Amino acid sequence: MSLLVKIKNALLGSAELSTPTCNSADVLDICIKNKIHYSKIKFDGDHIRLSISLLCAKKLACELDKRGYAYNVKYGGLPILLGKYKKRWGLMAGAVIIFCIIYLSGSYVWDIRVSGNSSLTEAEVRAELALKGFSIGSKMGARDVDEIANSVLLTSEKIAWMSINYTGNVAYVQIREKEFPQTVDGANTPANIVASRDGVIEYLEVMRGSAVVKERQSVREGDLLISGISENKFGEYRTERALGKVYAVTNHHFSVKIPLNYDKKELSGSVCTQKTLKFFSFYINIFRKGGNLGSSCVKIEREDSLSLFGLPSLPVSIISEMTSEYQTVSAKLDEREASEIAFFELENMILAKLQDADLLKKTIKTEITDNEFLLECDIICSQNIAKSVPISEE
Amino acid sequence: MDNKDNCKKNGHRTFKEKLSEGLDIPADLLCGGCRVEIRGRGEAVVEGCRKVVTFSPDIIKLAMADFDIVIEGERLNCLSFCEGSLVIGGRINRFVYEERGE
Repeated sequence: MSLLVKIKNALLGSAELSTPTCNSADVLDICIKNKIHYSKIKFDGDHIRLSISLLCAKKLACELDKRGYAYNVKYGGLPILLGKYKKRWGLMAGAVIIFCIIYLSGSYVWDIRVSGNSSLTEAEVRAELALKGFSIGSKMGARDVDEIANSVLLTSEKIAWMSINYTGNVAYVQIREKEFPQTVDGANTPANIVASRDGVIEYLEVMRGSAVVKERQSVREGDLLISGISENKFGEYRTERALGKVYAVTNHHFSVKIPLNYDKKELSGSVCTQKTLKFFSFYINIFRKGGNLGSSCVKIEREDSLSLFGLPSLPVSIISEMTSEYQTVSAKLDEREASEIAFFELENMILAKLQDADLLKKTIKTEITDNEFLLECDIICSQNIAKSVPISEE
Repeated sequence: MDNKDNCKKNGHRTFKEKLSEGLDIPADLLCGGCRVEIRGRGEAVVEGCRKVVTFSPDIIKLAMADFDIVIEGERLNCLSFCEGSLVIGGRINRFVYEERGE
């Protein structure tokens, strides 16, 4: 029996009919007259066996019954197997659902992997793609990947090139980031070095140009420190880009005011928790505990992706949301708390403004009134006050 | 009918046989409507079969219009059939035309 016939019999069902050999001629005659085609006929001892389709088996059995011949039929194939489980419809429904899920999920993006990024994070690249309608759960083939990449490049300020390729259901995104030129004016633009603030010069490091100030000289903001104009022995002037560092002792004053009375968010105790199953881009609420809350709420949301055996995450995640109701109440800071906040802010201000400076002296004065905590800080430090200013042609 | 049987017994040709020979008409059209094609020793196609008289691995006897065909051999089997034609397979040792009633 050929392979195709075997497959056909398995799928559509088949029967094996056996009858005593003495009936063989009549059986063959019946088959010929009634056009009952068999795939195999074989003599097995004192019986003859025919392999026929289900429908033909019924026809042949009917004819044999009419003639009163003894026979035996064994049925097989997929229809018989399914018939055994016909009362267990849950199995069938489950199998159909699984096949549907496998078929449908093969049409959606399961994961997006980004490579080639250095300053941009993977989440930022995914966010850019999501703005153009491409994310986990998007239908594959709905839009051309080149069109998606081009639309991202048109609006992105940081991505210079993008390529999207599919391997199975995973989208591999390769990017190249834009490179920005570093200096505002060109490297060869003639420029002077002037003071960026008042100070007393400690020492100079002149790499190009001529210094016009000396150590221990007091300068004011804007004063010329290193000149980019030089004169040769013939009395001709030429300009160049002055380069160097000028370290000076400078004074800085910082002032921080912290109001003692403030509005505090106090949780009222009403909490609503909700868990949602995210499957591709579909959201299914699993449960929600807690009633309706007021308009003033704080929400904490967390998404946990599922993964198996350390493999990259699946497009299934659990989103946990905790919403807490709060009310605004007036509160007052005590001196210790206000002082902590003030000092914290002061440190941030110093870090922002004097990051490269060497601290020589710091004087702090605090004052507390009924309404605020005042912190004054005077800093003397040594810093580079050189600032490059282009020489105008005039 | 008696004349025909007498002709057959005495070895004389029947009217149909004479007509078929005289007008050059193929024998199977006038004389029995049976056609047999034997391919090698393993396959035989028989057209015009009316009934299967015997069917076993050693002997197959088919009833044609006026006579019987007996095929003797080994592992004989009916491979397929269609509209009065049978294809017999196996190892054919002997192919005999038998007058009905013998």
